[in-house]
Order: sequence, then C-alpha cells, then structure tokens
Amino acid sequence: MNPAPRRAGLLLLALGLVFGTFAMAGPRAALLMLVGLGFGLTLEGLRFGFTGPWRTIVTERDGRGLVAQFLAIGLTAVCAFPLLASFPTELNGAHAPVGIAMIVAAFVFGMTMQLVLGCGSGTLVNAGSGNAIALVALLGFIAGSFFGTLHLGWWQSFGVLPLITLQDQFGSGGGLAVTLLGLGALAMLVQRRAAPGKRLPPRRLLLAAALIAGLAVLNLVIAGQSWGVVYGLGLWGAKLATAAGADLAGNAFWGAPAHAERLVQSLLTDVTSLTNIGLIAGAFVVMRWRAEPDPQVAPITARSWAIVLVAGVVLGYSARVALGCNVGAFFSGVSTGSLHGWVWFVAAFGGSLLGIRLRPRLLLPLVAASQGGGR
Amino acid sequence: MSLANLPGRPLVGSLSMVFVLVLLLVDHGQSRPINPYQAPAPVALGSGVAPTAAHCTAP
Repeated sequence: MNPAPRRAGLLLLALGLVFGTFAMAGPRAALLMLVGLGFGLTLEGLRFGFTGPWRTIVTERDGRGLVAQFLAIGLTAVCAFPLLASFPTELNGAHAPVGIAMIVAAFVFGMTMQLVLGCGSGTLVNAGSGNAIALVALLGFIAGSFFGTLHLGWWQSFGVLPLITLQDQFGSGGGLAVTLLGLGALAMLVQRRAAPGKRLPPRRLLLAAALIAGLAVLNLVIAGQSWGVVYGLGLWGAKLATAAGADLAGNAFWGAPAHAERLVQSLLTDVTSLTNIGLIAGAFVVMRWRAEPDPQVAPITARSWAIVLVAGVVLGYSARVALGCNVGAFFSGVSTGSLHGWVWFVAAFGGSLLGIRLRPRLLLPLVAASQGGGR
Repeated sequence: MSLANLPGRPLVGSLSMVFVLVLLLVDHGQSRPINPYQAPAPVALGSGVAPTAAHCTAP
C-alpha cells in the first residue's frame, strides 16, 4: 500500500498539534509542544532509551546505549551550566535535595522500570508507539504519580539533606568539570564491563545523544526549567481525580499555591504536560511512518497484566517520591549540577539490577504459562 | 480479542492518542480559559521573568 497519504496525514497531525497549541495557548506552549515532538521522534525514531541500556550492560555486556546516555547528559551539561550561571533569575536547574525516602524510592523506581521495560520517558514513548504493556503501565504511572503527591510531605519527613549543587560546591566551571569527570568515570566503568564490539555507541546513538541534548537545552531555554516528565503525569492524575469529584484543596501538595494554580489552569499551560503530549505524539508519528510497524509485544498471562498495572502505579509513585524519574532526576539533575541526580542514579541502578532478575519470574509469556510454565 | 491475540501497534498507539485527546477535553471542561494576553514570552531566556512552572524535582 502506498504510504504517502498516511505520511501526509501524520505530518498534518504533527503540524496541527503545534499550530493548535499556538492558537490556544501561545508561542511558548507551541514551542514546547515542538520540543516534545522532537523528543518523541528522536527517542522512537533512533531507538534511544534508558531502561534497555541499563539492562543490556548487565545481561549482554552491551554498553553502547549507556555510554550514549552519558554523552547526552554531558553535552547538555556543557550548555546548561554556563546558561544557568549567566541567567540565574530566568532559568532553573533540576535541583532537589537528597533524602532517605528519595533514595529508597529511586531504588524502587529502578526495579520497577525493568518490570515494565519503561522509565518515565520510555513509558510515554512506548505507549505512543503502540506497545500494549506500556499503555497499561502509563495508566498506572499517572495514577501512581498522583498518589505520590498526596503523601509527598510525609515521605519528606523521613529526613532530607540541605540542597547541594555542584555549582555551590565548586563554582559553575568547577561544577561542570566535576560533572564531566563523573560521567567520564562512569563511561570508563562501562568500557571495562562491556564486551569487545559493544563498547562505543554506533552513529545512530551518537546522533540521538546529540539531538536529545539539543532538545534538552532548548527545553531549558524556552521553559526556563529542565526537561521533566513526572510532574505532568501527576497533574494529569489530579485533573482526572478532580473531574471525578475529588476535592484536593485540603491536600498539602495540591493546596500549595503553585500546584493549586496548575490545577485550575489548562494543561496546555503546563510545561511538562506539553512535552509529555508531544513525546507520545512524536513516538506515534514514527511508529505509523514506518512501512511496517514493529510487532506487538508477546502476550502475557492475566496475572502478568495485573502486575504490569500495579508496577505502573509503583513506578509513578516512586518517581514522585524520588523527586523525579530518569529524566527529571537523572538526566536533568546531573546535567544541571544537582547532587541528587547522582544519588538517584546509583540507587536506581541498584534497583534495576534487582528488577532485571525479577522480570522473568513475574511477567510470564502466555504460551509458556499455557504449557505449564505459569503460576 | 483474547489475551493471546493482542491488537497491533497502530491500534494501541491510536488508543494512546485518543487517551491524550480525552484528557485534554476533560481538562478543557474544568480549567480556566487561557487568556492569550497573559501568555508568557515565547522564550524564557531573555524574558526577564523568573520561571514559575512546576517541576518534578520541586517537593
């Protein structure tokens, strides 16, 4: 079948999304929708992800995707540090304090993202590209990140350090140098672990890393804040809960002026909602653009579907308590000098190691189960 | 459709897009109308205005 009409329709969909956002919410919202589309097109089109490389470095000694992640973060940092230093009143880094609950939640997030094979951005991309497991996980993620907001203050009471940034400790240039050295050291560790031929990213991943870094810097310049995912999903949950009759005015989180304002304003004025929507749409466009879409994921047992939904809830909840997911905490935190981004990475990677071992025990293919392999 | 026969990616991807559309419609019905005269500057950098948007790193 001639793909031209379908592809023309996809172009119209993307353009309609951007221009529709412009007409309804103004130029900044349209630009952020465009950035979100760019993230979706890049992540799905060039198959750049976070969860997969964390798994393959362990299971296949393949470090190419992980090195590409570090490269993308490093490239973003090279631009973000000077920008944050030069425009401190107009731009905010993704800075958050390290805390006990944050560390535990990052560990849980890392474990759970290996169960659903998707992190914050990955779940959005996978859902947009038609992955059935990811769509179920996304619904759970939205619910979980909303539930996480309801208890965030309680979790914070377990103990939180003062906010520590590398800029405060070493100055802007020194902080950037420490960040790049840290990323380089991690890349060296990956090199030692990876098998020959699986150490350096191919051209596709190098291009993806450069594009992701460019889009992340654009996100910072346009929005005044770093790329994030989880806040938008929690807000979606809050919007749906409000529509169902929930009164959130008395909640400590949603009653706070900044969040209460977001609750009554349109999603088209919320930075992370705009890029999240663009991300899903971008992934959808790539999936439909291909002459032959990838095959659907293998069917899993009914019990496994329930686990996916619960894992999605846990993924969202833990991301909220961890003050970000792989995007807001790890990618944006590290690239803008937040110590919590580094701590988040260590904790989440530890959880990921556990999740890799749990997945084959919890998510069972339907065929294996029908042959007696299920529980 | 049974658990053994999942819909293809085009259908599931379309469902994701429909979910986003429904979300925006629900939001449109309960949110304040957007005032285009209060829209922020196209780009935060150089606007002279501190960012007020929320982020997941903010407790």
